[in-house]
Amino acid sequence: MARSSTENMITLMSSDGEEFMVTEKVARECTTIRNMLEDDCVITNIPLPNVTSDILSMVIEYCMEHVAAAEKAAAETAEKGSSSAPAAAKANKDLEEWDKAFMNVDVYTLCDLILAANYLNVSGLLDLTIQTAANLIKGKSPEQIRKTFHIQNDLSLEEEEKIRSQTPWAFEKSE
Amino acid sequence: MALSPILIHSDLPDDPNRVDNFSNLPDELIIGILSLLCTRDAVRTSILARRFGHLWESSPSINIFSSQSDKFVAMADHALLQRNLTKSLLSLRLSFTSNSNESLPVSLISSCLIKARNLNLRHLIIHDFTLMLEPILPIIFSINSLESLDIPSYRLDHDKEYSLPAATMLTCLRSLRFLVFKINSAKLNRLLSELCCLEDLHLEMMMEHDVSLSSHTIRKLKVTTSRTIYLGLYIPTLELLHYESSRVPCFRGEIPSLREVVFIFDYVGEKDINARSGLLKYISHAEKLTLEINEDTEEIYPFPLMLEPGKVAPMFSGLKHLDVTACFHDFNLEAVVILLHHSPALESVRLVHKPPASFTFGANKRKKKDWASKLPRNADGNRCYAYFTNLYSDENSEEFMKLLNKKFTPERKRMKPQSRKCTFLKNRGLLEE
Repeated sequence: MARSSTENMITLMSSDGEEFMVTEKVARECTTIRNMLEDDCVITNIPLPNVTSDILSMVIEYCMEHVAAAEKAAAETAEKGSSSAPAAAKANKDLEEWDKAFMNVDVYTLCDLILAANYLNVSGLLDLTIQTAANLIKGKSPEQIRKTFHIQNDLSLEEEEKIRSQTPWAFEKSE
Repeated sequence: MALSPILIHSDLPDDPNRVDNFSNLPDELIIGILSLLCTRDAVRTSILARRFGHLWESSPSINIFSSQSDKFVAMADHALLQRNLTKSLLSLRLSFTSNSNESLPVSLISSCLIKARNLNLRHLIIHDFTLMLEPILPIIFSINSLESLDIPSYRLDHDKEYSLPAATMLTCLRSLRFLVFKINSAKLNRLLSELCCLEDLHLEMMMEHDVSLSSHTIRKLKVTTSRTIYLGLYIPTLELLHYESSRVPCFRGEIPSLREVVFIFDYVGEKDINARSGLLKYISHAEKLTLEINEDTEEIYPFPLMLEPGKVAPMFSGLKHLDVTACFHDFNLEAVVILLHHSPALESVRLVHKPPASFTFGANKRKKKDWASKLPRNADGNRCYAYFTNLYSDENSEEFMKLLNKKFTPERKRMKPQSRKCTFLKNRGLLEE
């Protein structure tokens, strides 16, 4: 494993001008940044005009946690020749718990995280945030969903009635 | 419907300027969210606001379930049959679980599948207890874009032997889960030979079978059954074998690439002991073995579950990880200790005590004491489990050595004491000759 490359530091700059110093390994969790680094390996300062500082710090927190977990698993593997199955299962569970706690955010932050994960191309975070959003919709009535996500209903009563009548099976009381 | 906790900015005053950033997400991301919902929930979003109107129609997955056939037909018609042909379909899940004997019209399922074929469907799950499979099988087998196929339940015609259509179109299929009723080896193997990409096979076997499976591509095989199966495995590529049953199978054949084995046995009785011993010998070249044994609730006294007393246990020369869930009374603990002595390459061991279901104590004279765990006391101060990791390093191994050197009561001496005479220690060079 190339050890030296992990020590390189990269500066990420948020849309509001805040700078975040991270290791190259953490930055590489974002496929978008990884591609930039592969195109131009001397780059050390990356402006991210689409991501605010509070969201960027969360994305970095996510990447750091997942890099640390992967490094820990790799170190154990190197030490023993192969990682022990029960320990690996526990580590996975811990990381899942961490993800779950990390997703304890309001819907504004959640949507911003979805956008940032998509823009920076962090596939794990994108899957996590999208699943969280889907869970907020699951089994709810349209009125409850609007309330959850603060959606303004711009349909007239007639329009809404028309859509309902096209797919009545979707709006009947659940079975 | 109970209100689940809703995440809102309760600490912020209602700010009219604060935009609803969910609606402002790009189409592809909203569609990504909708694709994780069942079709009914996805369709409900169409009246949230103008923004959401037809977005659900672009979802790459359709998931229809209902217990009423008229509703099911309406959903299938609107969501699938009327779908725009330019919107290809990644996954289709149809589940119909009627309480009555009501069944869906075969013609509807057929048209759904033909439509799915035209949409280049990749993953198909049909979960339907009322479906007669045979008429629709030729259509399923003609969806050549299919990568996974999962048909876990359908109605069985008990007297009939199923004929399978040619599967030569399924050249992309990697994963197949299939319920097997009356079927002969030759037909099954013809099917397997036609599935040139199949890696993952899950068979649910409904009858006592003597069947041989041959394949040069399968890496994972899972079998679930409640019957005794005589199973020939001629699968040089097989890496993972998972077998779940209340009957001990008889294996034969060659699986040289085997790495991981999961055996889960329920209602195990004492009489099957030699079959179980033979089973362990068959898979003794695996690297990882997970064993869960739930014993017969009718037995009054504990009995050996794993190794036949008096027989020499096989050598597990490559076994690195052992995971056993069973009732760890003396017999089982002794069997595990023998396994440990016969596994010189072990790196980790996980033993979990699972007593027989408690309601059977008292009835038929069972004594709780006889079934108590004999595992060594662990760090949490109980005997419910014992984990040993990192067996290569000297630290941590003290407890493990104690377990290995555990003496068992004299009346069980007949279990070949010489066979476990410190083989483990010698094999690791930890004991001088």
